[in-house]
Amino acid sequence: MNSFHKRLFGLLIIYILFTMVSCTNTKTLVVLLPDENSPDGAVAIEEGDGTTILDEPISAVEVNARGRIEKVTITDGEVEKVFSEALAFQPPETISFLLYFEEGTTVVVPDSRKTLTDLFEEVAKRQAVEVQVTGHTDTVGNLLDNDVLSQDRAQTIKEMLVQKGLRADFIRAVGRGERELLIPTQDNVREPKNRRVQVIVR
Amino acid sequence: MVYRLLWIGWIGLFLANSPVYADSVEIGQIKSLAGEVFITRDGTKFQAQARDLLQQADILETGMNGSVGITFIDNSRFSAGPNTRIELKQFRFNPTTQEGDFITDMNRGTLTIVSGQIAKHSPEAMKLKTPTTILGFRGTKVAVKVIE
Repeated sequence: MNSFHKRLFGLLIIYILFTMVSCTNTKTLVVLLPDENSPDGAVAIEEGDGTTILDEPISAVEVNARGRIEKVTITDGEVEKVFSEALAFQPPETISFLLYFEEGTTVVVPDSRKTLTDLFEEVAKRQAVEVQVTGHTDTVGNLLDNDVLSQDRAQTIKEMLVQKGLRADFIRAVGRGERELLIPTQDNVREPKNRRVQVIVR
Repeated sequence: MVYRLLWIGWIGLFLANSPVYADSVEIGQIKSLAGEVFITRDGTKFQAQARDLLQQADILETGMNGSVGITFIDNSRFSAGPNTRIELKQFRFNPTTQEGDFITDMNRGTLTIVSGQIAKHSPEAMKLKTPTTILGFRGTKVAVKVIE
């Protein structure tokens, strides 16, 4: 094969690849599912220079290889069928708990004991669970002491969860001190609602 | 003057070390799976298991009977059906400000997505790229299939 043939062969390969790409029948089916938590949810679909917004539940479009968008009608039954396996594996929703503390301590207030029980139950119920624990304080005392206290509060809850059998490496405990108040106050103000730990269960 | 500068230096150092969320490499966790599910990380492919933690740039693939459910640290949730391939191309999330971005490439298969804090904080900061389009999420639940 001389260099001319080589070049011709190269061009042929490029031509074949190009035809394969431009003639592909690949499409993307996009279905907006009903979502009770965000009734005004929407998805933006890119089309050339513009976008199309899909915002009606169970509305669907197909986007072809040229980026053209076509509306398609799809029934609940068809969605269930096409996405049955994926839908079956949707993880449970994330849940958040708030626990309150006695002033200046890592002791959970009596009113939060029920929440603590609910937290343990939720964690036990889930197959694969990660927990994020964030401690906070009110503005009584100085900034640095409160950083330590909030970290200690978070650590206390983390240790309780570990005692309940949750693996420590799936629990992240941090303290935010008085840096993120739930109820904004001046400095040195007692505020029971700010003395808290937020626990997010995923 | 020198002392004042030193002080500023100290404060800066303190702020830099102030307790914020440690930047962990984990961006999500496999909650449940069935059949064959693989993760490719740094060029190594291995069988995934429930409770596995995921990182940015991981590639997830399901086999003919494979399905997988994932929850990310911004509370968004993915679930994939059989013969699916997704790449968690970019994931950045600040749990304090809720700001971030999340870009996933989907090459094939079926995927349902419930968007989380990233999309809630800034609409369309969460994107899914398929072979024919790019989707931007505005706080919602969507099902996507790549038809070949």
